[in-house]
Amino acid sequence: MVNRLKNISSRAIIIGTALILIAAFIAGGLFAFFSESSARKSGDLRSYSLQSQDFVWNGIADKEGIVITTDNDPQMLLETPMEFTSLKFYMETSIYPGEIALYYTEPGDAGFSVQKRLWIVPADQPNWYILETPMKTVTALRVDPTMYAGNILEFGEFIFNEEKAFSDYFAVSYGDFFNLIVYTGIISSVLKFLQEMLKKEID
Amino acid sequence: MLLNCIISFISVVALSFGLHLLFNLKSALTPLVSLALLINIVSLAGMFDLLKPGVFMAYGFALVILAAGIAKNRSRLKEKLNSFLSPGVILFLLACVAMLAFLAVRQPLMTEWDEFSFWGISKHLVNIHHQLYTFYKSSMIGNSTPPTLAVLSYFFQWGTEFTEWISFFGYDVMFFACYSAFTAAFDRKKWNSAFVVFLLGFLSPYIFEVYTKIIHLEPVYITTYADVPLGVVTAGALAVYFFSDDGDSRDVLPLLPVLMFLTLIKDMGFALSCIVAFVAFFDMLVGRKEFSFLKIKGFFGKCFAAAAMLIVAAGSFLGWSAHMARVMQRNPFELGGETNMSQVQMLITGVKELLIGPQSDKFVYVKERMTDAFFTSKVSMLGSGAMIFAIVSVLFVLAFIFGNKNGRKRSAMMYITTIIGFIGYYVFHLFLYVYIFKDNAYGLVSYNRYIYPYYIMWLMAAVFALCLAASEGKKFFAKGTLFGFTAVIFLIFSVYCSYDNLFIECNDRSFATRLDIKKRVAYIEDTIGEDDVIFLHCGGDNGERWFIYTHEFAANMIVEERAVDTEGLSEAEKIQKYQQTFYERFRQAGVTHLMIDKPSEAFAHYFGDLFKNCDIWDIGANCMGYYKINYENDWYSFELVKGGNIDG
Repeated sequence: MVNRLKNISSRAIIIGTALILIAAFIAGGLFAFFSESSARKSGDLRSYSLQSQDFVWNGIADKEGIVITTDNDPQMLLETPMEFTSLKFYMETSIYPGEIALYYTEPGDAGFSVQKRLWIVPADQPNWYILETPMKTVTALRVDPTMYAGNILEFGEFIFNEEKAFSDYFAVSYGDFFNLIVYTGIISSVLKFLQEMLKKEID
Repeated sequence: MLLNCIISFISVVALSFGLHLLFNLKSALTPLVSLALLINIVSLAGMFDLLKPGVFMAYGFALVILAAGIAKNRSRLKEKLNSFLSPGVILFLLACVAMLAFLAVRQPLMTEWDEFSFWGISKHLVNIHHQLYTFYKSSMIGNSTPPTLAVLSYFFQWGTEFTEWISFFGYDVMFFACYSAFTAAFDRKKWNSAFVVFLLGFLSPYIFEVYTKIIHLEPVYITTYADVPLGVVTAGALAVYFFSDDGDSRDVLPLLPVLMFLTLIKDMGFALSCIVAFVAFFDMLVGRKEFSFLKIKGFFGKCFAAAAMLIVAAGSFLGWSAHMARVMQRNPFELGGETNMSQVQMLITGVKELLIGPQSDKFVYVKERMTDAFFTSKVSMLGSGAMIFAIVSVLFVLAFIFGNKNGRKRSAMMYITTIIGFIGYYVFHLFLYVYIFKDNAYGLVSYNRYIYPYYIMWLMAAVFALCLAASEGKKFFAKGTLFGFTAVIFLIFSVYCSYDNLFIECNDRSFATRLDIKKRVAYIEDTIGEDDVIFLHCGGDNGERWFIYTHEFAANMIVEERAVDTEGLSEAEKIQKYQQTFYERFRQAGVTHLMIDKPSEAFAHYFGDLFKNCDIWDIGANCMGYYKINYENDWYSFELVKGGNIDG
């Protein structure tokens, strides 16, 4: 066994590590698909859509039909316990919105914190924003739609836990490629180091 | 566009291989040396107004060296190709290809303020005119800055329209060439150590660019600023010297083009080149017993080698200065600013004031602030300058402990000389703040950005000492330290940076202002003539949009808006004063057109009655207007050429 470990080539270490990481990525996708599917079947995970008025607003005001932010930390609060995995919503802004974030609390949490903050990013369609996360039980959500006061906002629907196609669970981003390269390099470098120790190639 | 970029990249790789074949230069060092050689050729040609021919000279040079190398090694070409493909070169090639693919697909844009006042627009101008920016007038400020980075960008896109992501690619080739040099202590058997060092190099700009948890894109690797290049290329120059371990001229000769390249990045490059020469000279004294330079052996050989380094650095600096004096008819040695001293005068005055006195109030204040900033100002993910020094010290001590006899001497000497270099660098910045900067010296404006190039170099120098120990000394411990240090840095990096902060996940939101202005430019550009001199008004702007427009319309002169003193005047007199002052300025600057990005109440108030065939507000809110300025009877009026909704 030890001899076999000693004789694994560098190429095999690198390719093996990359394949294991790819397999882990696929396994993660499969796990998300099956856990969400079973949660949907049992009724724990539901897709539904809300309007902006369904949230409690802080720092946002409706002035004669115009929705405008009144401070630099506008918030939209939703205190509905649920299984949460994604949010997609439509929003037009009069000025650049800056960072858009979602805060959440889980059972037992005292309040919102930066430790439980997720970034919402623009989706492929104009003015649509999206956030996807591994499924979690949340007790409350807070959307911070912009960083600026005086921003006129026009909202469309807020779609929670939209159903995804099977292939969506395996969508690859640039970040995933970056991860694959960097983690393959790091892990295989460490494995090679351990092999060198085993072979006593280094003093 | 892509073809041009690929041909230039191939010339870098071809010259790298040629250098390895012909001079047996360590392969991991060749990408940096060859890039420096090629860019230096084009820069030199550019100073004689032969920029485009310079690119062909550079291509020709690469081809000749490659051909000569192949001719010399005809019988063992396969063997040489095998030795050329060291881990550093393979990582360099892979990183460049991956980055090229990413940039070509994603096509990021410039986003940082000074890219539109100098670093970006200078590259745009060079592409438009096929000349260095010293040869013509433009809206750009700071056209005395040395040309390396503008030429680097030009080299990869001389035959096409200016494309921002290709400029980024040029920079990234430079970075990856430096990271390849960092790995030169390790051959193919030790690929894992090479990867770890390459990764450290890759992370090094982030360590100093991101020093607090951020929530926006930090455009490392997609910016045209010069500060990170300054630090990384200085570290690259040190690597070229330290890892060329033949004990002869080959230790120093490959360094010379890199020093020229470094000197011509930015004014501060000269100081850093001198520091590299200083560190290398003392390393030669203690660590290179059998050293010879151009067949001159012993102490004198080392002195000649050091002199060669200094001559190249000073020669490049003086050469650029002479070029400025010749082309721009300006005294290149005047630094401008508050005292308008020459560099030498500043150094003499500064040293006198520092060591003998008396010290002015400003000197004392800035000195105390800089001393304080070293300990308290957070300049990196790892903490303050003092913390960086502590980490560097620990790494050098470990390199000393784990090194062999010669390695210990070299590590100790490198540690001492880099400390002296840092003191010199820091004191030099004290003088700059005191004598050049005006009131903003009191706030140590851009302190982090000015100082961290040295920290990048210093941190990597300590890593190089560890690399020497890992390849020649107690390999297990040195290598373990190298791996452990990288793991800690990667962990801290992961805590500070999410993918939203990295170039890899940049999206249109990061470029919102640029995209908005690009839409406006697309709407208006067909009406703009080559010789139009434009007065641009951006209502409600803090200057950012104005600078972006100067970049977009780099081919035209854009005239800036300046304040008018109207104190004590009645409203009618104010309007009169504004119109009269602007009339005089327009005539003086030869302004032919007015462009309005967004109208403002103030502009409408003071100039509204000059709009003849269209009221200023008639073009609408989210619109753009371009007006011809008619000069008649010693007065002027604005006639709409094109205006309306940019979305059509």
